[in-house]
Amino acid sequence: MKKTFVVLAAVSLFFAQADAQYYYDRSKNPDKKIIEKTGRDFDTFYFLSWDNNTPLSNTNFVSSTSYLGTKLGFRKRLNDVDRLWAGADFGWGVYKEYFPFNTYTFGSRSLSTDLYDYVYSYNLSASIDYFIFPMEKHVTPYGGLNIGAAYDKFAQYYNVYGGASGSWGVLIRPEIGVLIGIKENASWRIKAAFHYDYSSNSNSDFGYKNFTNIGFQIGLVKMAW
Amino acid sequence: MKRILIAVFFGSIFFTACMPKPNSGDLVKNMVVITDYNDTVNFSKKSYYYLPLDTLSYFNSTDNDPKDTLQCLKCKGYNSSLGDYANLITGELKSKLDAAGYTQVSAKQNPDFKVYVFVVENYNVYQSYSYNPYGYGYGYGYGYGYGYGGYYPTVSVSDQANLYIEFFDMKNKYKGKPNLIWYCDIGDLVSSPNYPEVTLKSIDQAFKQSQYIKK
Repeated sequence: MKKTFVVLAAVSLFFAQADAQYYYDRSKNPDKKIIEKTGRDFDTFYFLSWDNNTPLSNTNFVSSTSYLGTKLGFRKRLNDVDRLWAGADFGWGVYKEYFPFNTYTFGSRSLSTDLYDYVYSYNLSASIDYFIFPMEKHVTPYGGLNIGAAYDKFAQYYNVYGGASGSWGVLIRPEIGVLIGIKENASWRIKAAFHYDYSSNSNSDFGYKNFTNIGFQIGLVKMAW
Repeated sequence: MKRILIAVFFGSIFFTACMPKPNSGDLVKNMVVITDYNDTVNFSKKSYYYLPLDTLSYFNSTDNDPKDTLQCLKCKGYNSSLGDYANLITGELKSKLDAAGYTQVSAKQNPDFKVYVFVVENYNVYQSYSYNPYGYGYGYGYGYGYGYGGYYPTVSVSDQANLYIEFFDMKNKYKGKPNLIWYCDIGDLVSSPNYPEVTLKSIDQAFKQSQYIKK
């Protein structure tokens, strides 16, 4: 029994080694066809996107979709099979909502005003994306995950008065999207993606236990090598 | 490649600096109206009020003579700097109190409550309220009664003014002094493009949100 186990382990190690040779030194494996790329071998890309977001947490404060936001980022290819890309994103967005003139009563005290609620959101994250097809294709769908830090500033304005408070938190952002080029292996592409953001930013003054939102971004991608 | 990096760099700076705020013209369309009252007081049992017409008190941090606070249209010099604002305010108050079923009397006719109207400019009023109610005042001896605690936003504007209207119970005194039973805080007067008209609208709102003030 023990001998059988040792033999199985040795065989497993042998195949594992063979597999590693395929990925990292394909030229030494004559049985496998090496994919020859046409055109430039892009290994980096940069993007700038218009980001639209709808808040999901504490919608009593702000619930309107924000059309004021962008994302800037880059990705670097991690391996030669063209699928795994890592990088970083910087994103910002401003959420705002107007509440018409109304009276708010707390015990014996009443206050009447119209309110402008704002959330200023900034984040910086590390990202990793897996592309389903090789980057040479016209259309390259992907799924990704970002992890980083987020800063939210919550503000309320009324007449010349107001209050604001900010908080930091951890950001987790799963994302699915697609890069679309006008031809194969295009230098410029369109990026479209849906994302869900969870950040642990809490603020008791403004009633936030965390800040979550869903978003859609569309932008331009510049491939580089 | 270099150009892209430069573009990304300046783009980041631009978007980081981008922190839009509401349009200032929209912000001051309406004034903030705050009212509070002593909920142990039954306003329906009051009948007579005293309100000096055509005058109000004015406290301004730039005023070198803090005793010189009376404002009226017929006054001279600094004392008429608010124009007919005092007339507008006291006239509107009289109209509201009469409509609520109260009767105006003179100070000597033993009124149930006294109406005191004043404008405060360039003082950090909200902080004063939080820690030392009415501590900013002088000249008229209204630093008594009881204070309202609770949260008030602190403000940081270079120039602001608020209109205060206060009712003092002249018959049920607190430690021998008139007892504050209702107050109204309306602001900001300075930033409003048409403060007389918006003030009248705000006084109307103050009475709307104080439905307990009726005979």
